[in-house]
Amino acid sequence: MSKTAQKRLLKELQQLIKDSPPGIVAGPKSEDNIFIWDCLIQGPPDTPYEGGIYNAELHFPKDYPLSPPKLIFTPSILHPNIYPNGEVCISILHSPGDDPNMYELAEERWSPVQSVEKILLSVMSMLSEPNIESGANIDACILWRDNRPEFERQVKLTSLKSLGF
Amino acid sequence: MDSSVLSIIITLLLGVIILKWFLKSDPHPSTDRINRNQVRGTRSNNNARSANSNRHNNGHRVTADMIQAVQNIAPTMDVEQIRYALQQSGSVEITIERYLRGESFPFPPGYTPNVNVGSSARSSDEINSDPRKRSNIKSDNLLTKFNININDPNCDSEFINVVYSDLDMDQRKRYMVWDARRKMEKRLENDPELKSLVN
Repeated sequence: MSKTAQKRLLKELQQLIKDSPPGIVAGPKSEDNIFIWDCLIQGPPDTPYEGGIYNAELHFPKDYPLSPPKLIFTPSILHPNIYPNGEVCISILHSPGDDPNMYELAEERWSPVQSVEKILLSVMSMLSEPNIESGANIDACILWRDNRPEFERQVKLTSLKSLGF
Repeated sequence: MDSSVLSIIITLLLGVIILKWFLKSDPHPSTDRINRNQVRGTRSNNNARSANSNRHNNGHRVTADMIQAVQNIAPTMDVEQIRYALQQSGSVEITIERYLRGESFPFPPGYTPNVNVGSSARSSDEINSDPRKRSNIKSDNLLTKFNININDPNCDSEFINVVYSDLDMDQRKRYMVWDARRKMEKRLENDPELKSLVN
């Protein structure tokens, strides 16, 4: 099973090196472990994250692509769908099958036809459009809903500091 | 006649097992609260299992990089807790998986942690109940992380006129951070509201 995962990850890596989507860089953190990837994601335009660069790690299970990886921002960022510890909560990263709470359609959840590229593009989309109905950081949800200027101020401040300002 | 009844019963049993297997799926995170008691029970079972297996481990070699990798994901854990867990498992991945599952990590035998006695048991319980709620929201300086000296007069020459597709993964990351920094400098010149955050 682990061999299948390694093969698939190598294939995805080659594809990403050859033709990476704009604003995304992702690859194994070290040469001796292909199951942990380091990623840089650019904040999407026309959002408070614009201009910022965000570091994240992808942790792949040994039975990838049957099970989804975990995506964790290191350090975490203020966003309604990102847990305070940095773990991302979006449907594409949830195990295959039907959602017992009927929030998500089965086709939105993980399946082996998904890929690292699709995950990272979904994360960029999540940064553009938070979904507070399925929040992971309750404080961020409340701030985003009730005091948007303060939410944006905090996000921009973090982005500026991370770029050395 | 008897054998056909037996084969029907076996087929039915197999059908039920396969159905159960396919219907099993991870619950949405929003059901955490409902399942908390159940999760606690599972966690204590896991702890018991890991404690049992630890007895058979002799201790693996642990490097500073391994500790750092775990600390990136588990910033609230003591270095000695991480080292001890890594010595037992020998794997960063297993240790992080355990952390994300919400397992508790013991200190090495004989080690006295430097803890704040004033912190209440309740808050510690709250934090342990879901590791995802431990805040790691902060800003790392990416220029330092990717070794970019923006004040060096030769800094820009490394990145100007490069063909992005020719760069390797590390060079792409450094380019991305440098490019974002320079673009942000320009943006600050024209955006007084953003500029006010820097001052």
